[in-house]
Amino acid sequence: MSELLNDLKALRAERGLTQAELAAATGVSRKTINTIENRVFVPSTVLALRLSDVLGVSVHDIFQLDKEEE
Amino acid sequence: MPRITSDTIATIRLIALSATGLVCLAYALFALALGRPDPFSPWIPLGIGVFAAATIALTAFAAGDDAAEIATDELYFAESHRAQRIGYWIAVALYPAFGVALGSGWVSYPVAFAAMGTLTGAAFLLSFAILNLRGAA
Repeated sequence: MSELLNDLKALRAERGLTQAELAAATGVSRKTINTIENRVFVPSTVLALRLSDVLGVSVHDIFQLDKEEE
Repeated sequence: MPRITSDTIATIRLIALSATGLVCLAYALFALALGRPDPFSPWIPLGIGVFAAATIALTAFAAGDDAAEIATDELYFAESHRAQRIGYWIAVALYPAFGVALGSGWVSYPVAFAAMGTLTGAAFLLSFAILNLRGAA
């Protein structure tokens, strides 16, 4: 199975948001954002879309499949 | 009075469930070690479990709907469901393990009953605690 990579940490930092601020904007806990950034937790499609909405980018800009794993 | 946040609910939940799991595990281990079904009062695991449930519920109620919803977001459900799966398979594995122990005469039926019951509870509670600690940084 392909590994899911993400640029959430970089995109969040570019916008000057803390994990807590991004968590509040998307209605989840700070730990959820932290575990997504550290690739411990893969979010649902709904949360991925909410994150893309708050960050103003496409879901594909945040999450990518690791092609080397395929 | 300081505001109760979703992080507070999550921390209290982790402490309450861990404490209950550890007491259940201790009960089972003492039951097996001492060879008796009541190594200490069975009201202790029961009381701690009820106290844990009440503490979590009251904290969530005092924090309000928004904080309670965030504390039970999709990561919480993912961890809880994974802990349930682990707990289920540990509980299933206890049957052949205790079957051998009972068949060999290493433990009595009352001790096996007490140990299996509390180990089943401890398996879910401690699995949840361990999974919950992964992203705590």
